[in-house]
Parts: sequence; C-alpha cells; structure tokens
Amino acid sequence: MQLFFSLALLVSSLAYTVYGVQTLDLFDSIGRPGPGYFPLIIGLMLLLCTTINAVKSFKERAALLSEENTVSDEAEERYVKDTVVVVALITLFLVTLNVLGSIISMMLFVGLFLSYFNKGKLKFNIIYSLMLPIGVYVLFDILLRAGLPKGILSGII
Amino acid sequence: MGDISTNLMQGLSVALSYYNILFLVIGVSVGMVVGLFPGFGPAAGIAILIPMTFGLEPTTAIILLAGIYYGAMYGGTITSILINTPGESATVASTLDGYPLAQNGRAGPALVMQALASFVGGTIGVILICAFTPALAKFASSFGPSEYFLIVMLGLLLLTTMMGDNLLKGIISALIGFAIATVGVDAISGAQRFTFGSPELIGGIYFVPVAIGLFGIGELLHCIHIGLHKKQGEKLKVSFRSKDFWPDMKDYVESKFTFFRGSIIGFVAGVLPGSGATIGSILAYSVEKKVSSEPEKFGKGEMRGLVAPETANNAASAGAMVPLISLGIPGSGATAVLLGALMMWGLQPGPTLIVNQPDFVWGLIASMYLGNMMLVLISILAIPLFVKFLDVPYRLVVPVIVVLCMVGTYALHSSMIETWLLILTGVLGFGMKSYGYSPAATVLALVLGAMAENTFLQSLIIGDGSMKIFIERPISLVLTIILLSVIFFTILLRVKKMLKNRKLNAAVGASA
Repeated sequence: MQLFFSLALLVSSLAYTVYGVQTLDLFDSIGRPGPGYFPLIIGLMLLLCTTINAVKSFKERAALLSEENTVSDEAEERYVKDTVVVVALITLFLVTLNVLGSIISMMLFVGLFLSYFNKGKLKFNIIYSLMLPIGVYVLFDILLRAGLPKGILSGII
Repeated sequence: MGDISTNLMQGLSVALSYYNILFLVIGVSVGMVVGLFPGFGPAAGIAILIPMTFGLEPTTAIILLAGIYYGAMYGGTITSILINTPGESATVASTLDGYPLAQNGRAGPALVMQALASFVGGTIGVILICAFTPALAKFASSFGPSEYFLIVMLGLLLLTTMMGDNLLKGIISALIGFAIATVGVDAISGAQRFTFGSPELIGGIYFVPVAIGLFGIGELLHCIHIGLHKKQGEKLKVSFRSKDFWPDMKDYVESKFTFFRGSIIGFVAGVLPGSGATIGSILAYSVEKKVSSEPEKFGKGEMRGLVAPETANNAASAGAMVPLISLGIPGSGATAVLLGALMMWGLQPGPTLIVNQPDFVWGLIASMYLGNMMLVLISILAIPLFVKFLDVPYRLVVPVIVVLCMVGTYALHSSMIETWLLILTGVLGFGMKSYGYSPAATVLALVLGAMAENTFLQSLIIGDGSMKIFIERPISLVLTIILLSVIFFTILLRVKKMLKNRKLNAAVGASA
C-alpha cells in the first residue's frame, strides 16, 4: 500500500507540474516572474522528492518480498475492509446530502454505520441514529443558522 | 514588569465579560474532552469546531478556539497517565513516568500534579508572552519580504527536520501544502491557476476543509485502520474524595524547581517555529533526568518525570502564540489552524496586529491566563467526570466526528466542492498519517503558501531578479545563515548515522 501511495503522489506531482507549465506563463510581459514561476519551482521540487520517495518505497517493498515477509495479517485485512466501509459510508453521506437533506442523510449514515460496527444493539442504534442528527441539525441550522440542505423535507421543516 | 501588568489588565478587562467567560469555559471543557481521544489532537479539535464559531465576535471565537487548544494539552495527559495512551504527541513524554505512577497506585497524585504543572507552565508561558510579544512585534516591524520569506522557510524546515528519519516525507508534505495554496487567482498578475474553469476555485482552496479533512477524517480513518474501534471503553474509577487522590508534601518539595525549568524550556521550544510542545516536553524530561541526583528513578514512577514534560508542553503552547501573534507565523499544525481562523475574521496577524487590535491581542492572552486557572480547577475537580469519557467506545465517537466534519464543512459556504474536498483530503490525510508524512506541515504550508509566494516574488522584484537580496540585509543574512546551518547539520547528522550503520553492518557481517 505504501508503494501505491508513493506512486500516487509521484503521478499527482507530475500532473501538477505538466499542467502548470502548459497553462501558466513563467514570466510576464516585462520579464518579471509570472503566475507560473512559483508553481514551477514547487512542481519541480515535488517531482524530485516524490521520485526519490517512490524509489525508496519500491526498494523497501522489494526487500520485504525477498525476505518473504509479506504474509498478510488477517486482523489488518479486516481493518482495511472496515476503513473502506467508513470511506464508502462517508461518500454515501455526501452524495445524499443535497438529495435527501441533511437530517435524513445524517440518520442514514449513523444508522448504517452503527448497524455495521455496533451490531446486536438495535434499540440503542435507533435512538442514537435519531438523536445525534437532530442534535447536530438544531445546533447548526437553528442556533447557528448555517442553512443546511432540507432535501425531501423542504416542505416540512 | 509594569508593562506586563498593564497589558494583562487591559486584556482582563476584555476577557472578563460574562459572554467571553462562558465561551472560555466551553472551550477549555471541549478541549479537555478532545485531548482524551487518542489521535484527536488540538489541531483536529479546532479545525472541526471552527464552523461553530460563526456568528461570534472574533475575540470571543478565538478565545473559544484557544481554549480548545490548551485544554487539549491538559486532557491529553489524562490518558497518558491512566491507560498509557497519549492523546497527542505532545503528551508522549508524560507517559514515561505518568503511567508507572498510576501502576504504582498513585494515579490520583499524578493527575493532580499534572494539572498543577500544566497550570504553572501555562501561567509562566502567558507572563512570558506578555514580555516577548510586543518586543518581537517591534523588532519584526522592520522586516521586509525577504525576511518574512526566510522565516516561513525556516519554520517549515524546522518542522520537517524534527520528523527525524522521515525528513523527505516532511518536505513532500510541506510541498503538497504549497501546491494546494497555488490554486486560485495569482495575487500579482491576477491570472487564474489550477481552477479548471470552476468559479468555486477562483478564490483558492479554503484551508478549513483541508485541515478538517487531514486532521479530522484522516486521523479517524487511521484510528479505524489500526483497530481502535474494536477496543472496548476503559472502565476506570478515580475519586477525589479518596485519601490517596492528593499528592503529598514530598511531591511538591521535590518538584519545586522542576516547575520552573520545564516552563522555561517549554516556552523557548514553543517560540521556535516548527519545534513546539512535543520537542519541548521531551527536552524538559531529558534535562530533568540529567540534573537529578537519582536519574535511575525516572521511568519507574518519578513525579518530576511527569511534572517536567507537563509544564513544558503547556508553556510551549503559550510560547507558540508569540510568533503567531507578532509575526503571523505559526509553529505547529494547531497554531496554523488558529492563524487561518484569525484570517477568516479579517484579522492579519503580524507586527501591526498588536498596535491595531490591542484589545483583541491582550484579551486573547488574558483569556489564556484565565483559562489556565479554570483548567486547574476543572482538571482536579472534574477528573472523575472526564475519566468517564474513556468508558465510551471509539466506534460510538466516530459518527459524531464524521457528522460534525461533514456538516461543519458544508456550513462554511454551502459548497459541495469543499465537502468533496474534505473527503479527498481525508483519504490523503489517512495515507499521510499511515505512512509517516506530516499533515501538520501540509496545513502549515497551505496557510503560509500565499505569504511565501508573495514575499518570494516581491523579494525577487526588489532585487531585480537576484537572490542576493537574501544576504544583503543584516537580518536576512542571519536568517539565511541559520537556514543553511540547519540544512548542513541535518545532512551531516544523516551522513554520520549512515556511516555508523554501515560500520555496524560490516562488523555484524564479519562476525557472522
């Protein structure tokens, strides 16, 4: 995973630098540093550092493989799955935020989260899924007047 | 001394309103709770709660956020002492003797002494802020763009070099922050950069969603990844009615000089950009062990081994406010988020802030003094209550954090792009946290990115494109020498370490 993260940073650095060079001028009409000057310095430094970093990660991974030290840990795999579930639930929360409205999307998120991570406590999970979103809604929308999306409840609340 | 008391009095007259006191109590209490949860430090606490400060006066809002900042320092130690799990890196050194003290049946005295140590450290820190901030602000008023650029670079360099073996990852983290900061309209030419035609990106990427994503969602995903959600709550009982709860006279007498040594070391570490509470607390612990006539007692439940890092990390929190207020340059992730919050309210920290907004500056400093007094009372009298928070399993805390992060980010500008950015930076923060990068360096660079670019370009324009400007002025020259020395000594230490390792490996190979 570390190697993939290092490679993702390298690719992002490359994209940042190339896009910057293609779209921004390095100098202005009177020869002073232009809008692309600083981003180019940052981009080149990023490219250099992320390349060294990716090579280091690759070497570390190769060393690990040669030691046959890559036996996966079952517990760790389970937590990777849990992490992916949380990211998916947060994404679902965001996708439904405008459509269903803040209260329902919060309830959906908390309900699904607890049904996966706090199994067997149905009554508690239901109360928690109702009370937390209502509390947060009251705090942000009514007390702080943040204007949270109402979604399908727009005619009711 | 007269100036210090006059300034403090001016600040107290601002801070001592019912409204400000109420938010101060809320801030320090929330900070204590924030400090209790592992991986959920002051930076995350401040970032997540920024949206809740809308509608407040800037002074009140910053008093609330600063309360969270140093309240978290108090709270972080409770878990260090009771369950050997520091709430954040600045309280790691407190586990060395704090946890053994609890195991020896002295959890009560350890908690009371840490509260007193935090109070003394925080109070000495506040007094030193009063003494140093105006002087530094006056000195900094002669700074030009080249000096500011060099100070920003020095702060980031120190922050990344403090990461030890992960220097390269620290530099990458800072560069990511700079890269994010380049999105939006270029201040000098007015050209759009990296906006991809989106009108929402013209104003640049706002630091709050990035900070909440990196510190809030990123930390949370990391905690899930390491299985914190599988742990049950800790059933601990601490009662201040118990006779064993209070420290004895020996504890106070033995630690009398430790309080002051730790405070001074911590304050100095806090003032230096990039150094901060973690280094301050470790340094104070090491010094205390060195000057002790019984160093062998350290690590086995020595009260001075707890008092030293505790005074230091709280004095460092105060010390970090000096460059923040007088130069507008934060030294850590938490103070970077505070700086962003100040800018959000239209306040520009720097040498002129203390002249233009004296009520704000002294009100904030006085509130820190009041906050420390409150925290010592809250920490001692409400320890049994705060310990109850440790009963709550982490899996029940996760929905609260996620909902606050999401709704808080949306509430900033009702922007879906910023909310998507939260998730993206959350995943980025998770990767950074898991693989040894520094989200603090990213946020620091993001907050200071515009300043770094503008001062760099201004310096080049003033110097007709020549880099000589960075060595022509005396202060610039000194800063350049310091900057180069840090780079030189970092490389030297690395080469030395590498040679030592090679020698060791060769010796092992030969003996095998």
